[in-house]
Amino acid sequence: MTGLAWLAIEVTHPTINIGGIDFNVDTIRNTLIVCALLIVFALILRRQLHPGVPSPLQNATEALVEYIGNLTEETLEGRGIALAPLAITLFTFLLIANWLGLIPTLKSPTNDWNTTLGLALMAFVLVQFYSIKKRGFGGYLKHLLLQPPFFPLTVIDELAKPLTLSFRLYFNIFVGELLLTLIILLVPTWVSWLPGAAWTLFSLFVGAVQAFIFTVLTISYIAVATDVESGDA
Amino acid sequence: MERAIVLGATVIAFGLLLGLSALGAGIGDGLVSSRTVEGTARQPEMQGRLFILMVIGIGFIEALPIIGLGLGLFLVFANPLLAQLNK
Repeated sequence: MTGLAWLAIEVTHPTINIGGIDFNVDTIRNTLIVCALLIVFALILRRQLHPGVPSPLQNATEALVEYIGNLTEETLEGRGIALAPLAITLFTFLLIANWLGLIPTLKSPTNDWNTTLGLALMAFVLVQFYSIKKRGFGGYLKHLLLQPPFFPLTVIDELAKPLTLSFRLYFNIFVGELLLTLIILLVPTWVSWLPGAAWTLFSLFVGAVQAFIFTVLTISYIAVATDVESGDA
Repeated sequence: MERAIVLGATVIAFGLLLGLSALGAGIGDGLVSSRTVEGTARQPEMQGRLFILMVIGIGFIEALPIIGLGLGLFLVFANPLLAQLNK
């Protein structure tokens, strides 16, 4: 029972109450750590920027930026250059955020539904914004309302997008870290490093894949919303 | 007594949720991987792109049992049905 009670503590966040709103302290702290890591990385990278002979770090970053930039460009068919910075920022933030929880004593910011729901709501607002921008406000309302039998379905479809987007990322990271704790709790100490190491490696993989999927889905939702000609999706 | 029934039913629900979703996701993973192997055998030069597509597909499929596991853990550790009973 002590183990179970400890596990129940593990899944809740310490909060402070400011002005009637609860703030998850650890999530805010870890988000700031991720931001600080990324900013320090960018500053180091800028210091050794070289047009002729790129350092390995610069090479890797250029490859990443180019890959996601091309992906955005392909998905949005030439209009993607405006959204490439968003995609690259999302991916790098989520990658570091998902991997941060694998360091003992730290937790991922994405281990909290608030973080992923916030990011998913950002994607939701962007999708609506680009939909309105493409169709005009009248066209947007027409697209949303003037399909009588399908009107509820269209609205549910739009609302389900941020929900599934946030749930997918949140539960992957949350369960990954929970299982790491469970392994330490349930397996005898002298052998727990073996499943622990295996699951940590798998979590590294899952973290990268989920960060990538979140980015790709955000971009492709925008692509679907701005695509008027082929299919009124 | 009622508490015991609710707890037992919750645990059974947890098992069904996890088992069935893992079953479906396992079949799905197998289908995706086998088709990737087939595609690679037919066109080995496509291996890189196929692998990325496979990883994305598996990421989608794997998310379902993990969402199931998360909801199940929510049922077990913060049981809303027990809270109903205590009211």
